Amino acid sequence: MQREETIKDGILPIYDTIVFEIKMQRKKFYFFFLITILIVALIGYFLVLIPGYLLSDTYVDFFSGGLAFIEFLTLFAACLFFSGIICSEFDKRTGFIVFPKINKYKLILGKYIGNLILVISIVAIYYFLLGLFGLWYYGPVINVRILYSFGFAVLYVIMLSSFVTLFSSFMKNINVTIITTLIILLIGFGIADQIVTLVFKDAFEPLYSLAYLGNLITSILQNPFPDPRYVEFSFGGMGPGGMGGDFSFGSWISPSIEMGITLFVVYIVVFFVLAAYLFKRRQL
Amino acid sequence: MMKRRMRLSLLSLSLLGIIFFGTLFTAVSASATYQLGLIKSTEEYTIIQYDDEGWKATIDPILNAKEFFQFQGDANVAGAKSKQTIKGWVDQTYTTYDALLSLYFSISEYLAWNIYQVNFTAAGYNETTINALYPNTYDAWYGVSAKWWFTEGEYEETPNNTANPIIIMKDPSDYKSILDNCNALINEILNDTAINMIIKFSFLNNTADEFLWQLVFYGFGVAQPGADYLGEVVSDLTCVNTTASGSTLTFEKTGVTDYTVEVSYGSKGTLSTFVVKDVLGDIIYEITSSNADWIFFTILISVIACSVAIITYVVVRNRKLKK
Repeated sequence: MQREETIKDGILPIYDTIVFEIKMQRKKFYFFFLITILIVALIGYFLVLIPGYLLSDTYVDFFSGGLAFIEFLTLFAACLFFSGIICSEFDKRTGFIVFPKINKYKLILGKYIGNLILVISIVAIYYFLLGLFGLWYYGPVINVRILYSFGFAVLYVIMLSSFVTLFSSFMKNINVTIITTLIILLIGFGIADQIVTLVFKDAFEPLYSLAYLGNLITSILQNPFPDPRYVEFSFGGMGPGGMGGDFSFGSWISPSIEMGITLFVVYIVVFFVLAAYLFKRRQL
Repeated sequence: MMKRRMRLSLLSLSLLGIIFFGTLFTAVSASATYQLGLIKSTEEYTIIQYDDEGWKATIDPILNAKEFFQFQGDANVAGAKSKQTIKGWVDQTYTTYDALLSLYFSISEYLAWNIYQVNFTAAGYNETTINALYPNTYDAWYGVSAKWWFTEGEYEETPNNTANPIIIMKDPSDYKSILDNCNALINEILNDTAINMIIKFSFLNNTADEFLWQLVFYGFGVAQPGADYLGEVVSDLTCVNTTASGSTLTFEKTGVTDYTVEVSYGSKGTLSTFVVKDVLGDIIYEITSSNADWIFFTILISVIACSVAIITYVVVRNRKLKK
């Protein structure tokens, strides 16, 4: 009985924080909800209205094409939802309270879970609406790879959120965290990937890149899974279309499934451990 | 401030006006002729009946339904299913040469034309000369669909044919022009002494009934209103053994005994049902179509209803709390 009450006392503050955080962030959620509907309607309905725009051959191909914006959407959502989790506590000086009414780790955990529920809901709505349009065009087709894709999208969101939470643990305010993480995730990784591919070609896979790991969301839908995962085009030669020359352009398509899952988990653990450590140090 | 608002309102109204009139003019220009009914969607075809004994006794003792109609997959098995996804369409203009190759020729004639192309070119029958001799052009809607062949089991993930054509002439009288021009051309070739006699054996004139029957298997589609369109096609071609009733074409044919084939077209303009009947009217072979639009609309309506219910509940609760 006493043990049950202890567990209840331990979980209740987290639950209350989750509910409170969801209420606090509801305007952001409504905004992303509308953006999601707009993107899916544009891709899944308005674009298809153009007669000359050929519908994909299969439901899965349609889904794969429709998921083109999911990485952008999750990236922006992660930056906007998770940037304030830790740094807002210090920005508003609540993080410095010596005898807080609620354990600070429980508070951060509750805030994190609340935001995570909202972002995963946005991803789920995206998949649901796209699936609904797919049902309209292709009839009832069940493909387990769409579920795998959703699983990777959730893992990707958790990884991005842990990355942003890490930055939130040492940055001074929310805006700086948003801008920094957006620049790194949107531009930083993209430029680094291009340089690395240009220099090392197929010798070095950009597994450090969070953006590259996100490619698994769409590549898992392909049947068969992309193999080889590195493709190179040469041009400037005498072959058809100028192919076969010394100029070449290479690109890594996707990490392997096993490596992708491993890295997702490793990054999530590392970012959270670092964030917790920095948060603890900051309180001292 | 007021002026700025006025300007903004005027600008918005102008933009809306441009879009509205643009849409209106598109509709007006399109309504002068038949309308295209194609919609990007999937239609599933099911063989609901195949009487093999009846088939052999009435139509062909050797070839089964699959081989006879050149349907692909398990088209001779009752319960087998096939599906077609309409992917898109474009406006396309056919020349007489295009129509000859893609609509008029049977598969064997098409192959023969390609094999003996050198001889035809030497005799003065190439794309340029044929189009110069018969300069008509025919405007059509050319649809592309992905097609899964008939199968007893589960569909394969990828379609068997990713570029299955759907051809709908904007003016139904064009079918008559195509038939007349192509028949005239084939007559000319058959009477041309420069063409080897052996080559001539590969080509024949088509009757209107044969031409229309062939079109059904070449992706013939119907513009809307379908009944008027089909009626005009049949009357223009002056078919003898083919009639149009509503959105159904009825072909009277002879195999072992007389039989009829009824081909119906749906609101999208694509094949809807395909029924083969013997002289007594008993069904020997029947294909019907269905789609899953109702599932989509059921889910959509449910989602909208739930959303409205939740929003109403939240609004009412908030108002009560405020009071």
